[in-house]
Amino acid sequence: MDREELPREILVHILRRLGFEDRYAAATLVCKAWRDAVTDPACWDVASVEECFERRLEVVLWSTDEFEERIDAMVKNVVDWSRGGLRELHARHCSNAALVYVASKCPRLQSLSMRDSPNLTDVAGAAIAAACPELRELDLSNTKCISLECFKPCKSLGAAFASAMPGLEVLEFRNGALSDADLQSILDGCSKIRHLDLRGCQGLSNAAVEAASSIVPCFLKPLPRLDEPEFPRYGHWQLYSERFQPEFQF
Amino acid sequence: MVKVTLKSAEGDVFEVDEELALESLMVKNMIEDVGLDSAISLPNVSSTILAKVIEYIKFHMDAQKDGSKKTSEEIKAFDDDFVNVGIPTLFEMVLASNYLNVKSLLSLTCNTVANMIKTKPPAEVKEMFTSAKQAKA
Repeated sequence: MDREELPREILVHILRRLGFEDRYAAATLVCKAWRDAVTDPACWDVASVEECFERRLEVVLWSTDEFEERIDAMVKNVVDWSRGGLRELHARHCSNAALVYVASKCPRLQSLSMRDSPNLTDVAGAAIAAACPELRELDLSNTKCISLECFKPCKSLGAAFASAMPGLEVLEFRNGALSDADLQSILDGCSKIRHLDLRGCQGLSNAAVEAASSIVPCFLKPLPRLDEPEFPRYGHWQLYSERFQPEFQF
Repeated sequence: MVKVTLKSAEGDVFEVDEELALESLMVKNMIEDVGLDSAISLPNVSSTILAKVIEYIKFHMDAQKDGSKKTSEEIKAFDDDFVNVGIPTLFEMVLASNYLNVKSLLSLTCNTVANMIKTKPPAEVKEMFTSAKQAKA
């Protein structure tokens, strides 16, 4: 039995069962028939680029531009190979351009994770919100730059999610910029939501958090806000509090 | 019980229960088209492989019957043992289950191949496939 003799159809069956890294790297390097089979859309309805991160120790490199370019290239290849059939994409450290590309090519996306992508802005967020109505799971944790401002047509991030993705079931938005009004519009608009991870979101009031936790079955809430201390503060204390707002809170 | 006659590539004849034969969607279509009178010839499947496929379907049909005492561990042990063969045989089984259109066997054998490839560097995968080729030749 020659590897060239295995029909493409069967190679696709086998490749589908491999993890992302093996599928992406090994398959392209084994031989021509495999490289050919790996570009079959049937291999790519699910792509978890994230797997590459679990075994790698080069954490220091993750925040570099070169690394982002590599991830972008992988994401772009996967999107091309899937010919728009991609249903699940899990990656990190992507650029705006890559995510906009995903949004323009993959209208059937159901699950998207782009956590830890510090360079993502509202442009990408808005593109996804506008292009992927079937989205059920969305993870945009630790994407500092996606904020309310970018979702201009909808005025707020929450309203953007709610109106664009009424079927949203899972939303992870750790350390994100979210207000009480956003949370409320997410709860109003996405009636199917069952998992909401808002750990580290600073903009929410305790009351809004409590109200949400009674509605959403699985709700990971931000730490409760501490009340302002009662003792009188001098002017420079005020200045101190304003300057040193902790950005992250895990 | 109605019997179906299957003919392998070498011309060996296998007589099996209709119920068992219908597990292969390809045979099922053939029966619908040409009826049960003549033997169904399977020129792409060798006798050894066909015997294995029949053994597999038989075991799983028995295991699914009511009153079967087989535990899921026993079934798993059978499956593991079943695919514990050389790569050439395994590939032939993949091809046969694809040709005969037996979904459960196709998924079992493809999973086995995928597990063999997993985490191996490309050179080793290449090696694995080439040695399978030489063994056959």
